[in-house]
Amino acid sequence: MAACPGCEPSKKNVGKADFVVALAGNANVGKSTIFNELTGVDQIIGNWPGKTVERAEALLQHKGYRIKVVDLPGIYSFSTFSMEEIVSRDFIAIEKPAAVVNVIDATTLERNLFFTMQLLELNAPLIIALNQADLLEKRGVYINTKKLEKMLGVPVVLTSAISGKGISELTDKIIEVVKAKKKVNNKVRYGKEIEDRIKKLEKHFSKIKSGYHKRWIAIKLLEGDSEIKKLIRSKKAVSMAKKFSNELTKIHGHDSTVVITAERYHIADRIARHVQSISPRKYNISDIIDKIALHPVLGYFILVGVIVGLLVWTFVVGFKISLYLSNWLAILEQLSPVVQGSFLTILWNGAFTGFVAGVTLVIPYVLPFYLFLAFLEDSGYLTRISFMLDRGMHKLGLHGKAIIPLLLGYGCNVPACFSCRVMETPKQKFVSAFLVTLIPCTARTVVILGLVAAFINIQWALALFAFDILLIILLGMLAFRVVPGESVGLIMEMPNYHLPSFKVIFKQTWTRTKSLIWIVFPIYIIGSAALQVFYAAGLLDPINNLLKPITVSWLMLPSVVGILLIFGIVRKEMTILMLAVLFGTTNFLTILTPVQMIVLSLVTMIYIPCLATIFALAKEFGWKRAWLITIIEIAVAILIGGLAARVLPVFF
Amino acid sequence: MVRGYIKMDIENEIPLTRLDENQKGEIAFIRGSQKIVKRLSDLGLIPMSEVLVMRKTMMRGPIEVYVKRTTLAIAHDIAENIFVKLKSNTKIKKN
Repeated sequence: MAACPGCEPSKKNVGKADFVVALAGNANVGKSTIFNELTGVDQIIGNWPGKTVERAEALLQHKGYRIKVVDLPGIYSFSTFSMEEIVSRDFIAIEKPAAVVNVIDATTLERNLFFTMQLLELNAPLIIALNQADLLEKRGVYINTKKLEKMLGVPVVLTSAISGKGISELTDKIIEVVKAKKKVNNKVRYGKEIEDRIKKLEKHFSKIKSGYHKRWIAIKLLEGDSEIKKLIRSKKAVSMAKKFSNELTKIHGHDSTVVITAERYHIADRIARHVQSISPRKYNISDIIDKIALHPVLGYFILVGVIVGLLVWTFVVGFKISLYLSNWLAILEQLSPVVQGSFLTILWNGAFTGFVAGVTLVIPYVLPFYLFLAFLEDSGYLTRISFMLDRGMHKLGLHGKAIIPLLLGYGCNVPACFSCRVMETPKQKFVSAFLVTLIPCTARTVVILGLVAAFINIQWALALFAFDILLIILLGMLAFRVVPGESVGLIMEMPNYHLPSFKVIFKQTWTRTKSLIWIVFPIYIIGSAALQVFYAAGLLDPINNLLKPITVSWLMLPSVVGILLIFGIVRKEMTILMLAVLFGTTNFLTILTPVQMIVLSLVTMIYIPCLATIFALAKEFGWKRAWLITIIEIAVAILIGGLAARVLPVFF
Repeated sequence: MVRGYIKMDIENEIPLTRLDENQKGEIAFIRGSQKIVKRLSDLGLIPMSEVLVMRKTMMRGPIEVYVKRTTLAIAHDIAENIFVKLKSNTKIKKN
């Protein structure tokens, strides 16, 4: 271990780290930025065991200590409204981190202190990081940190994540708190009528193994917390809690959970009033931008402009990068989708084309797209898009926030499926994932542009995209009715606009694109190799015959399309690559009529989420639901394709 | 959460959606499932707290409110069930 003044080599080596520290706080307070500043880039990002909630952790080395820092999800309370909240409170109560850093947005002290109250109630060894301190003056706020420290009984450090101010002081404080091992002094007390009932309740259950302490359990029972009710064995305590809650409801005229929440807020408000002096709310830059960005007419023009611009920009930039990359890769090895030769050659060729497709298709388009989207997100504009489109999303049983996965879908469906976690209920998660798989990703866009835009005209290509949106709306309305479960409406914080931080943008882009590496790339490579072998072995030709009733009779396409569609399951853009190879020409007009091109593009767009997406769906929702989506989309694609083959000739 | 209620303005208690832009009210009570009520109160919409309507949108779109020095977007259906007392000396728009 490095020799630094004041260093003590650790006696116990708990795993890799000497101790664990958790970061907790509301969303949009700069918690991730603090996490980045503390730990640098070497972060391990995975899931909480058994949960579809992201977990980020990293190692911080300071003064000879190896500290594991766990970044808890951004939440507003410890009720059981969401999985994020359960994961966070379980972590603090059960795994008992040596210290919990509560990151607070200094500009909205009341709301943040409300969460602090709950951390204190969990007896967490707290350190407050009063963040965005640099914005205080601008907002006309002054905070007396010494007074805040005294009132809460925990150390307070002023930080500014953007300039990195206060970070080393924060690290010193962490070590100080961990070394001191002071008994946590929870000063949160409620009104007499509540405290009396907490005390009575505490007597009626024995300490349970969960790690939660008695007072906390009693409070949660009064709040009617369903998870805690499950933990408690004593039926008597549960029925007693119910009786007490009803009494509290009667006294206050509000539900007991609201009463207790309100009390916490009153304490938070009181502390805030004591430690800060505020000048009245000023009209700020965000308000001015919103006057235009959320304008009932102008706002929508800007919105459409931004999204279309985003897509066009992606394809202009992506095309250039893609061209450059494929030229560069062609130097390594000439590739052709179909080769003859030994088994190994065929296998290698398949795997290599799969890899090339990943490098030249996914990366050049998806990366710039996600970078730009992360920029919009961090600037605060994405919440405005959600706000404006909320009304329309209601028809689909979703709400404004669903726009995030849907937009991501235009890049690649796989990360988009994972981002459906932003939705609150299981039903809304599933419906949005279903709709995401209908969004034409970059691979499908390549097919539409390569066939329809290149050989018919751009209007027909755009019409296909428009039709796709229509289809999504229709199927979404249907899914909303059919899928069981509840939907909740939009409740979302609208943060002020701010200049995006590059670190946050890169991190966000990375968390999204990393699924390309561990799902999309392997499936591209393995799938392409397998297909190549089947093809060389002549196993795919019978498929053409088998699929003839559908491809030839119903869709009125050449019988060879059967193979194309099989290849397309692995990678959608394979449909046109194979078409060129099988006919030895890239002038598709000699092979297909315009109507056939549109039908083929339509079917390719809808018929199946690609293999990688099916895996992603299975991971999030189980295989049963993944297959369900797959089968529905195959049926819809065949139906629509056949109808189009009969209707479209009118136009040509 | 208040269950049975009478649909009329008792003590000037009206749905948040009936306030005009830039009008202030004081939360009286919130109706709805426990989940929603809890979520809203976690975000600072608790009885007696002051709330300012910043922006309303057409066709029952979401509304933007300012509470506890933060801005929240709330779906119209949910906002309709948040009842506020008007701050004195402000007028209600009849509709």
